[in-house]
Amino acid sequence: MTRSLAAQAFEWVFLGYFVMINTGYLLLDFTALAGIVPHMRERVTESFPSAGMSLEPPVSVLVPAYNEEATVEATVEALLQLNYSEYEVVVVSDGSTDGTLDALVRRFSLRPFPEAYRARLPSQPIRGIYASTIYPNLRVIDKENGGKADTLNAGINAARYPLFCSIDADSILQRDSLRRVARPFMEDARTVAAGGTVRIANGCSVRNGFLERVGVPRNLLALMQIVEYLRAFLFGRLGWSPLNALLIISGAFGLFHKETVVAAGGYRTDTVGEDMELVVRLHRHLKGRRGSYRITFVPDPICWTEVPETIRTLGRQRIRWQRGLVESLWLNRSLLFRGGAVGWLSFPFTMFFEGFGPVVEIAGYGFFVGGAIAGVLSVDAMLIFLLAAIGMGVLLSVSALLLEELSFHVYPHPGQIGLLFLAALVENFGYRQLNSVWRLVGLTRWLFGRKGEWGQMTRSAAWRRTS
Amino acid sequence: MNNRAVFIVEDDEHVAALVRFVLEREGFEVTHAGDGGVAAQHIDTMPPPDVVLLDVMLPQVSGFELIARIRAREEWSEVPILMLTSQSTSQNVVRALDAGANDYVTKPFRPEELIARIRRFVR
Amino acid sequence: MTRTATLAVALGSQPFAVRLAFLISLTTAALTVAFLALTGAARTLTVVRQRRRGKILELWRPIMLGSLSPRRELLPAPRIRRTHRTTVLGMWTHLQESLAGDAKDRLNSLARRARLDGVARRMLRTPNAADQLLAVIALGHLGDREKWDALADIVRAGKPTLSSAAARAMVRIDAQDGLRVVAPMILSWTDWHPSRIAAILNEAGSEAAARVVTELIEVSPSESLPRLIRYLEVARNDKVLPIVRRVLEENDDAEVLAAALHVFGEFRDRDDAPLARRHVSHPQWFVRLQAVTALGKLGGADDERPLTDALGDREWWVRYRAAQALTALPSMTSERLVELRTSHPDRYARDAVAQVLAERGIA
Repeated sequence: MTRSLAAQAFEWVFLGYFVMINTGYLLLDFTALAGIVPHMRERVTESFPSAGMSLEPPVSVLVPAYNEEATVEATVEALLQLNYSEYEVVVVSDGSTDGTLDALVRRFSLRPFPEAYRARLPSQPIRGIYASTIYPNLRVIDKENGGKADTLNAGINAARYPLFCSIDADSILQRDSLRRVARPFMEDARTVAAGGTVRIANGCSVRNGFLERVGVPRNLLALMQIVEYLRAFLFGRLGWSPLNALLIISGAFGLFHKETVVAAGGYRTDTVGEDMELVVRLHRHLKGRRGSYRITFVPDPICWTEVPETIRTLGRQRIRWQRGLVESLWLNRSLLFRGGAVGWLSFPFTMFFEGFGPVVEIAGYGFFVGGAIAGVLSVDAMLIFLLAAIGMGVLLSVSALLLEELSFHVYPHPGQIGLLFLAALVENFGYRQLNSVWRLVGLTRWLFGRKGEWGQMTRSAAWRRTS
Repeated sequence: MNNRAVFIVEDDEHVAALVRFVLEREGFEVTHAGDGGVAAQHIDTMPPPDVVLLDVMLPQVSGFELIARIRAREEWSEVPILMLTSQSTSQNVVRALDAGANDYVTKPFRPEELIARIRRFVR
Repeated sequence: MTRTATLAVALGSQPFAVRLAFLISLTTAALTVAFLALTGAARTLTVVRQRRRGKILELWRPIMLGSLSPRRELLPAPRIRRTHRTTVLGMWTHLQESLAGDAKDRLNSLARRARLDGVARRMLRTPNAADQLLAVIALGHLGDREKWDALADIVRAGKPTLSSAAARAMVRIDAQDGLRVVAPMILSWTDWHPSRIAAILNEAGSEAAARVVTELIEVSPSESLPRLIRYLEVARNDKVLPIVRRVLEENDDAEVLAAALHVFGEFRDRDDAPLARRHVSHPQWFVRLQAVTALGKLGGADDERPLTDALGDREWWVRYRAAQALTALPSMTSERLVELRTSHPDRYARDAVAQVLAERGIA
């Protein structure tokens, strides 16, 4: 059997790609571990009574809400009970058409408040500002519909404190979540942003908006997402933090220095990945100015969220995420090779392996399978290549579980870990490949998407969470 | 000797053991709940103690929420509540007293002072 | 032919890339199994450690708590094995952190009797950062001067958590000498959160803190002055005021002025009111902000005029604080404030007054 040079080249390219991406992630994972182990040890002295002596910087917690009448009361109740010395809760309703505002007015005894609102960042007009007569640190803003980014900008305008915390209306926190995510700001005054790890709430018991007990879901899709979140969103991102090259802070829970964000222009309303875009832009904005800065990742499990359990919803989410990712990178492309670990490491890595990666992956699978069918490749060869690709994937998933065991072991029961290992295995036979397809769709949509269409897109769609 | 009963809610294992030791040494009968969930259950089902000692910063349930729960239950509504706070920031203290607590003790505390404050309420 | 042989032959005939892929598959499979085993081992280790810790605590708890009783017979203290030292010292330090008064001295006696002080000293040199932190905190409570120089080195190393803990420990052991070591670092730790420094100064007590910060002010460059003045605030000691006033005589930098005005506001000495009054129209907004805030605390009836004018300031925060300051003036009445809300010619001023009134629940 003669093998064309082209076929050989393709073999090397794809094999090389799979090896590179998996080795890259493996390195990231173990860099993450180097950061976690000392962090875990420091936790011992955290419990000392005098540890809380350092005054915590006051925080404005911003809660963007659109048609959340069923859940908003519980969310806000929970937020009012965080263990933190000084903070305020600002709920911003993005022109909700259901009973969101009414529910809030009733429950928290809100009255219109003649606040002198300062529009530092542009946003849709404000319809009214309310303050609670029972909870002095709760305010609610009602504005014209404008999308999540626009709503966050309005929240920033109304925020009184030097730090603001952006959360999703359905983020489930723990009582010490705010304290933990504020620590980097107390440790290092150069910190401008800190992100929290998002863990999966499916299967856990939630009471009064707080996480009561951790559990493992029955749904296979959710199980596989647990492994995926650990692999890609926890350890995969945590590794960038010590290098100050973190590109993504999830919109589900992030703490930012308000003035820096305002100076950088606030959130962009013309992108679907506004949370990531802000962080990338912060890097770009701050690299230009003098003085060093820090954007860190807090590895402790402090934010929990429900993930989709059906393929349809999951697919829509992942397509949107990929689009957001590529948009965020594109809009800030001048950061590429612009210096520092961001420019030279995380930006190209993210661009090549996460942004453009799906193309190579799908092409790779396509080549191996199609080549075997066409006779260019022997079936044995195809099987071996697939085995290598999948094997590396399994190794990565398993290493994420190992790292989890070495650090937080959120799932204490051995049965739970066993289930997760099975999911880690199964994940690589179909789930990851499906993900690549979705991401390819997302990439294509970005490339050929009608950019103007975003303005007309229904604002409710803008509300489903990104990254 | 009449045994006065104290109910402690404290998640810190060392502080809980310390307080138990100090109180039992003085002849108190101590019941302890290590987290808010257990405490809530205890409040709902058990007869009231003579004094409640409550930590403000609990991981699962807020101390203030527990005070509200205690005051809501009829048999427990008159029970004196002492808060254990770790900072003496006026905000925390005022909030505790507003919420229905009767007194507070700041950490780090002197064992003699804790006993004296508790004794004030069980005369 | 055997299966393996067939496989080997099939493999041998494949191109290099395929053979490499096969090798990769084998390696990843082996590593996967290894990681699985490691996970199992890690889990088992955690369980074993937990159990051991429980046993150690059970053994030492009655001894440590028992030492708190002045009258009881002291229980004998067992030898502390190296593997136990973190747990035992951890519990001891935790108790020290939770207690005040005589109990601390009794815990220290126990520590000396059980040779826990030696353990802490030896732990100071461990590479494990968390253990080192524990040792530093413990030595502070022990009041042990033996490792003074080692602690000073740690302070000078400048790591946020460790160095500030060492600084507090040194100040706890000996306020005067400790501050002397820590003082030069206070100047250079520019990116430390002020509350950290405040915690260290608080440990030393207001007299010593005031003295040290004053000395620092003498020698420091003017960029550091604003920060140092804020630290003086921590030393809640009236002797601080003349120092700050003198600094202002020699230095008219805006940042220094703002910091000074903040301090004057906090200490509420009426003598400083003229200064605040003078700077209500300073070119820099943050100076105006502090002047207005201070005037609310120090001022009297004469200050209604300048504050009402400040309501029309360009900067939102100055307007807001001016409105708050007005409500704080003893001579102001609710009726006049409500009237101001409607009568002031400047729209933004009216907004500011309205907001403050609503916050106070006045109207």
